[in-house]
Amino acid sequence: MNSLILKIAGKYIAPLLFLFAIYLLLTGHNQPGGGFSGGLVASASFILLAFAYGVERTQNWMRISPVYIIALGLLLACGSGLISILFGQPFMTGIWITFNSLSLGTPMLFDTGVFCVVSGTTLLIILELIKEV
Amino acid sequence: MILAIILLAFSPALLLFLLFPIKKPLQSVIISIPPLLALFISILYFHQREALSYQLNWLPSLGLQLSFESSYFQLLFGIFILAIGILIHFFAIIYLQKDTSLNSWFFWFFVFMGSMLGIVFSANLFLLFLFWELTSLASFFLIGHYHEQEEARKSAWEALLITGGGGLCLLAGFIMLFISTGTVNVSDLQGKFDFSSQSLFLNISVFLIILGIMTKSAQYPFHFWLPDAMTAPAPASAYLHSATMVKAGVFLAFRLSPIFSNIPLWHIVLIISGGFTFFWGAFCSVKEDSIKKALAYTTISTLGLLTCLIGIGTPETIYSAMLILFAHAIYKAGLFLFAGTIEFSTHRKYLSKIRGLWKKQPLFFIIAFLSLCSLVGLPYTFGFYAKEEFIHSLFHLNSLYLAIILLLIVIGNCLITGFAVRFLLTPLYKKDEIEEEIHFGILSYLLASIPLFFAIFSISISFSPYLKDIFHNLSNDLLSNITIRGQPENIKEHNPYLMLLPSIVAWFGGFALGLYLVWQKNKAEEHAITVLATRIYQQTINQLLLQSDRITRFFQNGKLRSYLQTFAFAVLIVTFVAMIAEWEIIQNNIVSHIFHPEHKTTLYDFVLFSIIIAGIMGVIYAQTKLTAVICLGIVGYGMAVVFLIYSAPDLAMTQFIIETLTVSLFVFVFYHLPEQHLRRRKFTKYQNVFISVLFGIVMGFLTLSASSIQTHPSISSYFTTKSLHEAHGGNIVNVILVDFRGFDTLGEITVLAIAGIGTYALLRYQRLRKHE
Repeated sequence: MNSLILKIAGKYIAPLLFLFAIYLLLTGHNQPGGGFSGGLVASASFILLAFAYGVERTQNWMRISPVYIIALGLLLACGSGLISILFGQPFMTGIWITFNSLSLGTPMLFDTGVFCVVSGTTLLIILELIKEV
Repeated sequence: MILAIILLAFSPALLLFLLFPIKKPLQSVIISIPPLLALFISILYFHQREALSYQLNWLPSLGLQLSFESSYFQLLFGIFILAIGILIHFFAIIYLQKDTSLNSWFFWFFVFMGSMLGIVFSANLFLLFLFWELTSLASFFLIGHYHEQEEARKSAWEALLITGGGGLCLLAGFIMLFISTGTVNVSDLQGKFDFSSQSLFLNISVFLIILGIMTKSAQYPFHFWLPDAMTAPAPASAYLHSATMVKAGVFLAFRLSPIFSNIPLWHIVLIISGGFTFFWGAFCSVKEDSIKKALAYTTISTLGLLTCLIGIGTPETIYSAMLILFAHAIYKAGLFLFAGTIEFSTHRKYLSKIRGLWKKQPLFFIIAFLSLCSLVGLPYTFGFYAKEEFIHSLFHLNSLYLAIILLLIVIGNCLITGFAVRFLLTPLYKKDEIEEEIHFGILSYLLASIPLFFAIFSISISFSPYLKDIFHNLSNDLLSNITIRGQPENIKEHNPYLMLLPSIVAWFGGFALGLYLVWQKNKAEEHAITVLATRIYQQTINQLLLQSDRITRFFQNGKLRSYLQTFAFAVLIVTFVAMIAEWEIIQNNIVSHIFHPEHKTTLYDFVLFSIIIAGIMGVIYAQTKLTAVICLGIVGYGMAVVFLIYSAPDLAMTQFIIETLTVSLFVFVFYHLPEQHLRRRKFTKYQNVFISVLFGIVMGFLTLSASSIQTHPSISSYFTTKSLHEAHGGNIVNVILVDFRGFDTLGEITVLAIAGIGTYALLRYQRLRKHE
């Protein structure tokens, strides 16, 4: 595929999409969104780039293989569950720290893990499929 | 302390990998230090007659406790396991010196040792089962150690399937026992539960447990795995036969015999199977030519005797069974190691091939003689002591019992003596078949010293007063544990010479039989019934593989369409059955739900559903796949809008993204698929229409009934009240996903990752293959 429109559009849209994905992840706990939809949008941004510029260049931009993203995600998800054990509570109990009105907790980390696994898996499969065309 | 003993026995398996820089023989010696320490500790406690116990709540939610206990008998058994194990380990260091996969040998050997100790010390039947299966697994690797030989692999499988399958029966039996009694702690079972009222359920559970014992202890008709397992290296056979594995079954029977003493089934099955196995094993051993196999048959015979004695179940017979167990452990370990020594020095496995060996090696003759003494039960050996004790114990029974069993004993012992005489005389016999070039190096003598030690030990032990002391304590310990069933009649003092009579008859009969066999030079042949059992097993396995292959081919034919059909059809059947069973409820609820006055159709709904239906029509009548996929996308977007209208923005958003990604994924997948027309044969078409329409109806029905029928109070109010305050989240859907039901999500993403990596591997594999 070699389309100038797609290339130019992709150049501007893809980063926005990725930003939007992170926005979805971060607001997910209070507004529509979350790790799952965020991860899908994030993978969509790279898939757009892959359509426009080809898989190899996209992979160069990504720097790491999607397999590592999956592994990172699973580690984050499991690790966030283990934190509560350090506090003497059962596996996957939410631990929260509150600054003024902002609450940060282990479910956030867990959601990031979901984000990574979802986007990594989607990218892994779709990039491999596009590669052959 | 008891936990420490078990862990120390397991530890060399780990130590092996920590000490990898140290060269082999030295490393192998070093790793035997922890078990030696464990042996030392247990002897210390044994000497002080201290009962040990350890308890830890392991999985309290399942009621599973990590609890160990040790009575006098258990600790003595543990000492035997450790001591014999360590000696066999030293034997193996020399015997397997040229082996390339020594690490795996040592690893499984010590796992085996540890799990056997686990069986002996477990105070909880589920825990015992865990170690039970671990021994099956470890023995699989030990028996199949020479895995490059097909025969070894086969017999390892055989052992694993039979003992593992028996283990599953055992688990089922334990679970049923747990259901009917409410506990699996041995001590609780013994005291608290009254087994006098027997239900069928309890009897089935007892039968299943007996099956587990019979498979592990190689009772007829499950005996054939044991002789077949002789493809294993000699140290493995020695350990399997002496203190571990086959003794695990007998040990379990020991533990359970006080508990089940009121259940007739327990006694009947054990006595009959044990008695027959005793005779059968002895009969097979007489003519068997392979040394190790013949020894295996004598083990089977002894195991049969033990089971039979435990089945009879008076304190005296159980006590004598204990003695036989220990005596057998010592002399059988020695005999197997001796067979290993012969194999190591001459590379021969058959009795008929080592003619003239005794002439070359008189020392070997002495070892053979001393080891066989205990097997036959000649005076002044441990075997003799045990055997006399058990003949004594039989005299407490009524006379019919006594007559039958005594007859069986005499015949069985006669046969075993026959084997022993043949074993002793054949290598003495006539011409030198051992060639000149076989040299007996220092290693052979080193190896031979270990069976010699066992042989001398089993003789010297009967002279030591300490032994009598130990056994006196043992019998006291036993009597305090067993609730005596029917007080034995007045114990008469019998004439000691009369007691010797059965043994003497057996010796002379056996001697004559042995001489006859040697004189006849009969070629060994496999016995018809054993061959039959093996053949039935083989046929079962073959048919199992064949049929499962056929089923797999039928269902996994590589056509996605037929997968979907099968799947849909299976779901249909299951749902139908469920729906028919609960028809009343469904009928009452759904009708009122559909015609609820609150439901009003708006213009939105009308337009939206028209679009969705148009999309579906497009999918059905599409000429190419691409059109079909795009039409499917329309349906998906339509659904997303429905979610939006009914205020589920999260679902809607996810649906939108998924739909977009799916369509683009489909487009790329099609690139790989072969060009195919969507037109099909009429029959296939109708079939598809039938299944899909029915599937749609059932699914719709299911969704309706799921939303309208409530069997439990709704949990959603819990989520709404807790979400913001305790989980700090306004978006309940997301809070459920990452917090309330986070564990589910963790499972889901793990599955997703595995599926993704699997797909990736398949795609890559195909591409690589294309490149070649």
